[in-house]
Amino acid sequence: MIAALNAALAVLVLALAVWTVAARSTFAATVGFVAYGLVLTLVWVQLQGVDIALTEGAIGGGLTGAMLVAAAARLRDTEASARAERPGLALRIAAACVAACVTAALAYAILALPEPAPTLAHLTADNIASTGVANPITAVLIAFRAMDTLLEAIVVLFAMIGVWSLAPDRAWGGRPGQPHHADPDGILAWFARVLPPIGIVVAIYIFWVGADEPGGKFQAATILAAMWMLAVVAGLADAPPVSRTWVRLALVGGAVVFLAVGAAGVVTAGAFLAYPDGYAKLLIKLIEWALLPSIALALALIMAGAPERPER
Amino acid sequence: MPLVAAPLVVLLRSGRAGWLIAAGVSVASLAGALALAARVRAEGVLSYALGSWQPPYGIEYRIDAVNAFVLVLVGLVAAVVVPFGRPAVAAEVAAERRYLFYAMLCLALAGLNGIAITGDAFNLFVFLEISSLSSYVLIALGRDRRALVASFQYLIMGTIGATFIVIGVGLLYLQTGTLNMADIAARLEAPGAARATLAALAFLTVGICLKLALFPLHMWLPNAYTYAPSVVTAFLAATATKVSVYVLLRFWFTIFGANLVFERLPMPDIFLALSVLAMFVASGIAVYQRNLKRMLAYSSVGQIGYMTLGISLDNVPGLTGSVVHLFNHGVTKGAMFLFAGAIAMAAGTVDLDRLGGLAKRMPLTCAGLVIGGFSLIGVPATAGFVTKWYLVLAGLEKGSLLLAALPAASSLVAIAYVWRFVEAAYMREAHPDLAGVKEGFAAPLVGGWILIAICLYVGIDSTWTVEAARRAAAQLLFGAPQ
Repeated sequence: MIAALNAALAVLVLALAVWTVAARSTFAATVGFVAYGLVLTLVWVQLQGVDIALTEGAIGGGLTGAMLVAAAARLRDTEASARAERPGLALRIAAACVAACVTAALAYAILALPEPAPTLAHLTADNIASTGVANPITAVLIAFRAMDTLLEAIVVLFAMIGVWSLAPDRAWGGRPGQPHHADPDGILAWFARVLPPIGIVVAIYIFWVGADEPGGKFQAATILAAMWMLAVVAGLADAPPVSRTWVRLALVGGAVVFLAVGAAGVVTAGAFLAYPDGYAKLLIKLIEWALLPSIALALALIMAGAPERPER
Repeated sequence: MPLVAAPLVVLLRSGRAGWLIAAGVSVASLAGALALAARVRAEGVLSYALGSWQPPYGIEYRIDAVNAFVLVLVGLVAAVVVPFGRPAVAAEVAAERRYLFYAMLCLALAGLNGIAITGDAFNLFVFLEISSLSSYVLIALGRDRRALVASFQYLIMGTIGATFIVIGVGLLYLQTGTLNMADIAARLEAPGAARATLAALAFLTVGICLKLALFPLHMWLPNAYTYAPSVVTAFLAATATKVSVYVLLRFWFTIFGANLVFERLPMPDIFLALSVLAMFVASGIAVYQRNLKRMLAYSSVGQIGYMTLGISLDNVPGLTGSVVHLFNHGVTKGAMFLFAGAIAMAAGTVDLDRLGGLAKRMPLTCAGLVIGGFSLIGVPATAGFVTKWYLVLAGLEKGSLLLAALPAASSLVAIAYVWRFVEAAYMREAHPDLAGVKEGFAAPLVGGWILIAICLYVGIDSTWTVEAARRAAAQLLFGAPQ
């Protein structure tokens, strides 16, 4: 039974991937991509990578999907002219060949890998007690490889500033995107009133259990961002002008706390990003609490798009 | 490491404070790099375990003769370009975007330093992303909106490169179960699973070569360098591709080992061919450019050919030539792009057809560009000559007169494009548009001349750079500086 389910999942993932590539209209490809993300989430669950499944579902399928849908909607007018500029058959076949070669090389290499694969997992497991958290993923992210996580948190800011750099000079620092209007009695507005409280509770739960069970700030932040965007799309709230002081403070707050804790480690524990004995769990929680609103806001502003309306 | 802290302060403030902090950070970075280089010289390889988590499950920073050299280069270029680039930024970046611009500049610097300093393969990838993403944004922040398209092209190519690199790192992890570079190298020596090793090598090499713009994977570079704000071009041209060359050296020699790369695979021949193509074809394209910045960009692709040529020769003089060229070319190109930026600001154009008689109007800028051009050609008493000298020696050591003659022959192509600027600036009648143009903006000029002075100094007295590069080459080839 399980084997059949797994086989079906594998076939479905591949079929959706092919469909996403082959789809003619941008919108159809986007829908394919979102579906692909959701099925991939199930695959990760089957592989017992619940943390990865949550991330894939929230960011790979959800957030990226929403952004692609928005982009596809914007591109609808240019679709015809883009299709006219499609590269010739020879070029497309060449590109397909290159891609196929890369895939073949990768498959060839992976089949030759040692079995079972050597790993750091046992070393990590041996040292996990010293961090005070029970979820190995969180331990690796915020303790053993804290530097990478710090940098990733900054990367989210980069992406946001990259989106801002597309803004016309006139609207620089203004409110992102176009204002949304929806029927105040319609289904969208109803959803936007009912869902956010539930979503916020779910997000906080996912965040809270992150120390010991699958979950954590990135996934929770994505849910928060999605709830907020729902309210914006339904016209119940409006995105703030991005140059507001509180926006900027909230955005960098997480990274600043992370850095401050890291720098404090030099004094208290003898190395950058080191935690003094006994305080590890407390500090890890502190960093997570600080990163949550920063990441949520950054993700929401990325989804909201470049500033288009000058601040009055 | 403390570098990461500064940019966030910049994010909070705006305008002038950003410049002050960025300049301070750049100078501090140079000072730190010099101090580290001195310690490496005195004590050998340095290691720092982040968060006191021991490698291999924690991240290790590891500094030897090679990355000490790269760190000094990055610090030096930043310490000159950022403090002296302020008027150029003021002219090319809208006021309300400047604080973001400086924040990004700091982060780009932090990313490049991080790549050079880390001893962990995945951490290196993350830093590579930091530096690449900040460069995309830096290029896009300029007033010239064509920069957006250039930045987008760069983004696509850079992301493909990054994907290849992360696949390569993933394959290495699957085989060895560790991300620490020294650990990977030790475990790869054990026989078996050679197929996956080769695949990892292939993915990493292609990915890194995209980043370092090895011909013919250089397509993103000319547009990005041409339309980016001058300070960004000067900084990135002098550091980003050089750091990528360092990454290639690190993976090839430290992780895979020269034995695998050079003796069991046709790598040297492929690289030799591509390097020679870069030296001649890209330089040849440079001759036909009408835009000065674009000409310099193609010349960069050609000059990268010298670095990879030295690597492909796989002997001490060759690698010394490569490593020393990182420095020589970084300094030279940094200066030349600063001058080009000064011209763009004063004359409003970098189109060679409209720069006739510029030397009369801006004598100092033009003289600096010409000396930089001499260094690109490899005229004795400039930094470029030192590189050529070692590459010729390396060719002779390989016993091939042809290999020795190639760097000399490619100088002829360089003469051709440098001559185009000389002809326009010095020989032609003054262009009517240039009537009111004066030498202006002292700061970029001073910055450019500082770099030119260094370029001349290391061309005449090359003991310091060559000694450091030779130690780096020995570290790469034999695992210990001699």
